[in-house]
Amino acid sequence: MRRLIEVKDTILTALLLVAALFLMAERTSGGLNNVRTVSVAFLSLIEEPLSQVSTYRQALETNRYLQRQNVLLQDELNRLRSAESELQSLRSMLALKTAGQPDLIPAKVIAKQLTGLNNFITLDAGERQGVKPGMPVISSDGLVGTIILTGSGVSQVMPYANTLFRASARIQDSRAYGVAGWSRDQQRVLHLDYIPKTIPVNIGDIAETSGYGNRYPSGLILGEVIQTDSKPGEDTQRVLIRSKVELHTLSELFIIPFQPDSSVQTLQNLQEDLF
Amino acid sequence: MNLPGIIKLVLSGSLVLILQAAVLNKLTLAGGIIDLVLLFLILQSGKYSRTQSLIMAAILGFLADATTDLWGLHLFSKVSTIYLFHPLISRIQNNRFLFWQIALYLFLILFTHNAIFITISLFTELYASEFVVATKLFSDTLFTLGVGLIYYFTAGNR
Repeated sequence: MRRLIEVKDTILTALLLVAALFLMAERTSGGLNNVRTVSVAFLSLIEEPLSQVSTYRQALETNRYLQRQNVLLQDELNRLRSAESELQSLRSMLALKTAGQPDLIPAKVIAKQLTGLNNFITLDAGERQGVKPGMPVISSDGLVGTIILTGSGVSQVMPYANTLFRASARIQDSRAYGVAGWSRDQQRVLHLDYIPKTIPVNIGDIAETSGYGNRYPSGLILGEVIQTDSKPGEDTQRVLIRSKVELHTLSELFIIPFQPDSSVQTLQNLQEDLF
Repeated sequence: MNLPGIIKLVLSGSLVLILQAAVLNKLTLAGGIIDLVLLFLILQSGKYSRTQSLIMAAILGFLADATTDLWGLHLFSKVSTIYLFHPLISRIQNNRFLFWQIALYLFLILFTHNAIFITISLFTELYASEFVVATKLFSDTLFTLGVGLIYYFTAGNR
């Protein structure tokens, strides 16, 4: 008995350690699920009043994170606002441009004759669509020609590659004015005459309609300057322009419902009558 | 052990357990947690017999297991530690030692406890990473030692 008392702590320890091992084993095998549920419920009861502290700490961290995100988003917002301003400016510029050319009439090419001097293109838009003779025809690359005949649902275009084609034109940079016509030698090349020699014209300059002829609105692209010729004894130079419009592959284009200004036409008629 | 003493012990033990479960288990320092329950146990076991200390260790260990969902680990390690170091703890509390001696003994007790705890936990595959094992072993020991020494030289040494 005395010996048992001496070793009771050892026995007690052994029993407790066995109990601990039993708990470990039961924990992994799921035998303590009910007790675990109770302990979790009790622990949550204890932690609930202190959860605000934890919530506060997390709120501080979240606040820091959100402040950083706020700075980044503010920076992005500023850049987007700047882009929006630029976009608005560009939109207004486009609106101004289209304001001069309202309601483009879309049309498809249904026939072409580009083999001779009298070249023409037939479109599937006519009087029903509001197409009238004299209206300019354009593509995304520039001026194609002008409407010369209209039917109820079709119309015929005189392209720039026609010996009868004429357009009042100018060089964008130098603002030098002249009259453009087809060169005949090469299908996509136009010549621009009556530009004074004193006005420098550079290769690569863009030629566009001037709007002075009262037949085309100003700003329609004719092409790019590829050559300048100036003969001795003449005051003017001839500028060759290569059109960006490829007539052979053209399939879809737009008709500008442009009508010549009647008052200008009347003045011209009066001038002709006067002299 | 009289009734007021038992009540005081139960209340203080409950307070330590709640503090451990609700606050200290969530305050990790370099991956380590201050084991206030173990410090309380060491502090109290010097005042009681080995048997009483073992029972106290078992109760506190079981409740610590319940609050951490580590069933058996705290019970095993705390009972083992008290069984092994009760004579030393009694000597420390009943005699005056130098600072470094107390620090060394306390470190030894804490390190042994954590070593047992982690060794047993390895069998239950609780910690898969060696880094976690090393962190728990040294960080827990050092932080608990720091708190224990602070307590000893402020309240416990009077």
